[in-house]
Amino acid sequence: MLTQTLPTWLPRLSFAPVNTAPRGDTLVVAFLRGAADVLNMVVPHGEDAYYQLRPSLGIARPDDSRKKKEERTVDLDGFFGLHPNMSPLIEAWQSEQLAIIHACGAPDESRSHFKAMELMERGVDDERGPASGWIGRHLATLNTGNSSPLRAVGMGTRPQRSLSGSFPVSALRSIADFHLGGDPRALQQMRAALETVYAEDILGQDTLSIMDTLQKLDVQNYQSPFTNYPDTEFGLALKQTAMLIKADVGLEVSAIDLGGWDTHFAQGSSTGLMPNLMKDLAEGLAAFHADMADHMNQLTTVTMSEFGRRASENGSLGTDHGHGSMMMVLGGNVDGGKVHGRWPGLAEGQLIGPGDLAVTTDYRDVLSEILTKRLNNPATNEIFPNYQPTIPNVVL
Amino acid sequence: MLILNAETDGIALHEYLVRMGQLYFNWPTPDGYPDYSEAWQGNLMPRWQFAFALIRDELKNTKHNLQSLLDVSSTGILQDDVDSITSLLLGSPLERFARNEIIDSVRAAGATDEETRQIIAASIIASPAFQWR
Repeated sequence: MLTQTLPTWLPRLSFAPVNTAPRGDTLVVAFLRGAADVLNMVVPHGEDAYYQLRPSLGIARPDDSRKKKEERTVDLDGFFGLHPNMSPLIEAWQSEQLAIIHACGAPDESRSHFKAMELMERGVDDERGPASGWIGRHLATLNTGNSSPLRAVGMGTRPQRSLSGSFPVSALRSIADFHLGGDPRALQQMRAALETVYAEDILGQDTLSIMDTLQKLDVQNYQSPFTNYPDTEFGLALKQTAMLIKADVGLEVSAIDLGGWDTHFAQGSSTGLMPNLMKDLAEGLAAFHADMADHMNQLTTVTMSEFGRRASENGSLGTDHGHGSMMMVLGGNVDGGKVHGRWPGLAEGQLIGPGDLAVTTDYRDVLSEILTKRLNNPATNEIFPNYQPTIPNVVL
Repeated sequence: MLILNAETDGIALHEYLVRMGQLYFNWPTPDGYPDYSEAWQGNLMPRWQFAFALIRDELKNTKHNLQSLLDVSSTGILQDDVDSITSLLLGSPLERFARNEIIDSVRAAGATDEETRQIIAASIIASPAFQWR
């Protein structure tokens, strides 16, 4: 009787079959919160309409000799180019380990940060879907035989919405968080007591073992022989993710946020607010890519944002809420050095709603392909309920 | 918190519950948080940190009353006090072997009698048996 009154997704959520598969790639998800202006990140410099819509904010063409080189787009394929502050990613692009999916996003057209983030992190079309997050459902539907308490980590003070669900995840502001604290003497006593109390408990023993491993890691003085991470929260989160992967503590998913992209006012073209964010993003990802070179075959990093911004600049030298966005996928098994997806154009008649980039690739297509091909989880119908993905062939 | 007759403004508690992944009324479905150990044992560290900080009175605006509760029945003998602590927290004392084992492990780490009482109380709060209560 009760089941007749429950939403149709509930039985699937409660009794979802668990697939068993070996661990695939470690997945790093960087969420650009605030709706990043992707048209100024991966610039369609081959499109005249872009420059008509953005007379002040537009990033100059790669061959625009009227502008200094550091103010011009860095060409990728003759049509798209990177913002100059995104140029640290050129090396990954040239090594074909960075793919870009432009005009990508969610079907939701609310243009509300709250609603769009909520739906995207839950991986659903509307509020009626399951309340858990898409990563949470991935963890719940795949048994990799990994009992690590650091199987999934949300970098920050609390786990991201996408991680929520029946599988317990850890929030880490810092690797130092995975520590009991207190003075060394009391800590040693507490550790001895826990060792006894959890003597027969595998998860307890795993937790103690990882605590010991992480205690030896020195975040402040971590030096990569290959690169320097930016001295920012985003850089620190990536650096700590790298440290956890190298420490081999069972990390399968790391969720990282980079906020501040809601650039309605004075967002800046080659310098300023948004270029600084792009610098942080690109330098962080480039450092991570260089640092993790030996692990790239088991690592996939994806960036996403809740929606894009209006194609035209506004009167405050910023951009308003739009629709189509962009994703980047970085990894050793990426069909990289390409801008994927169908470009819908920015000319009149090609924009949607109040003047926004259309979405031609659903973000769930990209994530579904990563989940199935790289993370060995075929349960995409559980992870993205009521959605039939079209595989975009972004990963190998 | 009730067992320890603790006083709190709830703010520190809220932070730990978030980190434990079990904030009040935050389970997505109507069936409530799962009561099987796999649902929380993968995230033990914040539970241990909470227990350790609570007993050491390191949680902001939070104070337990363990000592007053012990004073009522204390004989001054460590083993008896540990029985009182485990009876209070778990409903019954540990078996003698288990009790002595945990006392020995903490004493071997250099704890005084007073520290042993405190650490054992924290470790019992952090234990799988207490998490069920």
